[in-house]
Parts: sequence; C-alpha cells; structure tokens
Amino acid sequence: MYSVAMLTKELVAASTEPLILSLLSQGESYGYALIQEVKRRSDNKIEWTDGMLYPVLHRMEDNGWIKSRWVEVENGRKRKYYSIKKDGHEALKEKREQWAVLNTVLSGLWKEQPV
Amino acid sequence: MEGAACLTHTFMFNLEQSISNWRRQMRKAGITNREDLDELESHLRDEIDGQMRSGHDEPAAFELAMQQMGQTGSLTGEFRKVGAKIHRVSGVVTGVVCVPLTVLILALGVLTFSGLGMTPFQEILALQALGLTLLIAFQWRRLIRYLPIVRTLRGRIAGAACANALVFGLFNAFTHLILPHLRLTDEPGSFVALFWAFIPVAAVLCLTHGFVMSVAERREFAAAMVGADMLTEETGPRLGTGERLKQMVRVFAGIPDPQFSGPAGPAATGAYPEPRWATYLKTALTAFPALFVWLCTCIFVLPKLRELCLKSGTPLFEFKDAPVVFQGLLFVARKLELLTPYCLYIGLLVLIVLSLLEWRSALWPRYRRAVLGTGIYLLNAAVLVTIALMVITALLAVMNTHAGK
Repeated sequence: MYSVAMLTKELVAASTEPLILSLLSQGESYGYALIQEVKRRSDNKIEWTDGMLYPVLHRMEDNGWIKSRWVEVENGRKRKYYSIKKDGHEALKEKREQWAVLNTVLSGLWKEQPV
Repeated sequence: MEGAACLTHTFMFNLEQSISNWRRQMRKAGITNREDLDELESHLRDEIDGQMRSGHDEPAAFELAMQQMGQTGSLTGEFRKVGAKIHRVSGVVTGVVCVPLTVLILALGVLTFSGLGMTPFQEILALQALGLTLLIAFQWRRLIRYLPIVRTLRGRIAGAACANALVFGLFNAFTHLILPHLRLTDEPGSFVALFWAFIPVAAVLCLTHGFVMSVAERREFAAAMVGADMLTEETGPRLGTGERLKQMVRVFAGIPDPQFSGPAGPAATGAYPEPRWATYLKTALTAFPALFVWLCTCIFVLPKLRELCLKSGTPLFEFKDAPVVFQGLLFVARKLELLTPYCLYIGLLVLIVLSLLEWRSALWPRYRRAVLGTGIYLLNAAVLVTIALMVITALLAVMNTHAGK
C-alpha cells in the first residue's frame, strides 16, 4: 500500500489497521467502501492500493479483531462485509493510546519549534 | 474513423469475459482461494461501477479498475503470506489425522486378515480391496467435476437414489446368489470376495454425494481443491463432461495442451508439468502387470520350482561359476524372493514415504515423475530377470533329473 500525496508509504502502512478498526467501529462495511471513505476523509491524501487492503483485512480477521460475512446485494452479487469484534475494540483502544502518545510528543515538540 | 474505431472497440468489449479472464490470470498468478477471488472480483465490479458513474465507458472503467487493484505480483505475495498460515494449519491437520488414520486402518487390516488364517494371496487381495476403498474415500472429490450435471434438485436426488438402489441391489444379488456358488472352500476366501464387492458400493456412495450437489456447490467444491491437477473452470473455458474427459486423456498421455503453452510450445516455455494424478496413475498401471505376474509366479510356480530343484539337487538362484553380470542378476533374484513375503509392509512403507514427500517436499513434484518412473522400471526389470532365471533354473533342474536317471 502506498500513498500518493503527503504521506509516506511507511506512515500509510502503520496507520492502516487503526484506520480500518476505527471505521469498522462505526459500523459494518466492505472493502471498496472502506477505501472510498478513507479517500474522502483524507481529501484524497491517503489512497490505498485497492487489492492490497484485502490481505490486511484477512490478517486482522486471523488475529480475531474483525469478522466477516457474505451478503447478497443487488443483481445477485455477493459482497463480503466486515465488522469489528470485541478483541478488535481492545486493539483499537490500544492503538488509540499509542497514537495519542505520539501525537502528544510531536505536538509538544512542534509547539516549541514552530515551522 | 476514430468514432467508428471506438464504437467497434466498445462493441467488441465483453465485460463478463474480461472479468473472467482477469480472474483466470489471478488464479494462475497464485491467488487460488475461491473466497479471495470472489472478494477481489466484487471489489473490481464496485470499482468499475464507480468509474462508469464518473463518466467512463465500460472498457475504460475496466482498465482503470484493474490499475487500481495493484500489481499482480505484489498482490499475490501479500495473499500468499496470509494464506500460508492457513494452508500450513490444514496441511498439518491432514498430515496428523489422515495419514496416521490410513496407516492404522491398513495395519488393523493386516492384523485382522492374518488372524483369519488367510493365505498370503488372500491377504494381498483383501488389503488391495481395503486400499482401493480408502483411495476412493479420499480422492472421490477429484472425480466430481466429471459427473454429469442435472439442473434440478429433484432430478439429482432421483438419479442418486437410482444409482444407490442399483448398487445395493447388485451387492445383495452378489452376496445371496453368486457368493454361495463361488466354491470358495474357506471362509477367508469368501471374506475377500465380499471385501471386493464393497468397492463399487463405496464408489457409488461417494460419487452420488457429489452428484446431488448443485452447480454452484460443485464449483465451490472443485475450487476448494487447491492445487488440483485437472483444469478447472477458473483456468479455462467452461468444458462439458466429454471435453473434460478428452482433456484428462490428453493429460494422461502427455499430449501438451496448446492453451497453456507459449508461442514456441510447452517444451520451450517449460510450462507443462505432468499432474500428480497422471504420474501416479501411470505408475500404478505400469507396476500392476509386473506385480500381478510376480504374485502369480510366487503362488503357483515358485513352490513347484523349489520342489523340482530339491529333487534334482539344483540350487535355486545359485550358479557358482557364472559370470559376474549373471551373479549380479542372481543377487537381484534372490533379494526379490527374500522380500516377497514382506511386500505388504514394503508397500505400506513406500506409501508413507510418498505421502510425506507430497506433503513436505517442495522439490518432490519436480522429480516425482523421474523417481517413480525409474522405480517402476527397476521393479519391472527385477521381475523379468527373476522369471527368466527361474526358467533357466527349471531347465537345468529337468536336465539334471534326466542326467540323474
């Protein structure tokens, strides 16, 4: 997964799981919708390589953070929806704390040294 | 002109065919899990819809959606990392459960048959029946795709019920009408015959289970056979039963399929490996005549030859002044005679080793054909040499008998 605009690919990679968990904590969703939502919220600054999202989702499912189900949508097509599990909420909480620490430290440093 | 070309391009573009080709490419690249492919396809269709809503026509929307999906190589790599863990687990389960279970069933069979007082020939026949039944139980899934497809559930159930009724009827006819008249003088012999009668029952039971499946269930079932050697709907156009059988014969005969070769042919691209099933089937078919002939020789000829040698004073497989090459052949014959009573255990050991190689060795598929081919060649050669030496020994024994008179 790589970024197009400001964010480096390392940063995008590191933020993928907390982003997915945060989005799913708001409700069940599917891969395409997750990508579009991230694009919209980041004003197209974060663009995931579409296909690469799914191995991440499967890994998170293996970890027990999320679960999936197939839903039949229009025209007989099937779509795989993901939802967050209890362990996923725990993992999200942990990641929020980690990012909060990072945010606090960086914000403090940048406050001392304005650009 | 440009508009006409564009129109032609749009007219010729078939979205479903393009998606099907894309899916086939993904599968060839290594994303073989049915669910993963379904998910990616669902995403691709959503992306195509999105692009078309933005104003692009179908061909352009498809191209843009494909680009958005990412590089096939990177995708495959990422999926493989996730899939490796699952396949390792299922491989371990298969190895830990199925292999020991098979070995246990066969070992119990050997003990049971020995306890029944069967002759070695009867034991071998009974174990073969047991082995074939287990083979059917484990491998029937591969044959499902060749069963005819009946669209209605009622038709499928009726067909399956008729097939089962027919087989059970035949089985009962065999046990009540034919078996009593086989003149098998001992109980173990009847037991062996009964065992062989179970095989068609097992085969029909397994296959009717597959016959009853709906088309969608069958496709999922076939796609779940990861690493299946036969062509599936994902890797080629949808084929009828007749076409699939032709393909199976072509694969078995080693005739390359032009669909999977490069412009210079499969030999040039190295893109035509023989499927596992074809190699093992050829091995079994090539080994069978030699094994059968050797079995009959051991049961009917060897005892008589030993008796003849004893009476005439001719040693069996021992010629003191024979040349070195001949001594080598005699050595082979002696070893073959020595190992024959243990052939069942040797056979079991070979099966275990082959199973382990299939399960654990990444190099084995590359050398499978060569190793099995060499092994079968050596077996055939050993049997031929031994029978030739037996004929020579018999002639010498007869000559000695006449000389003695």
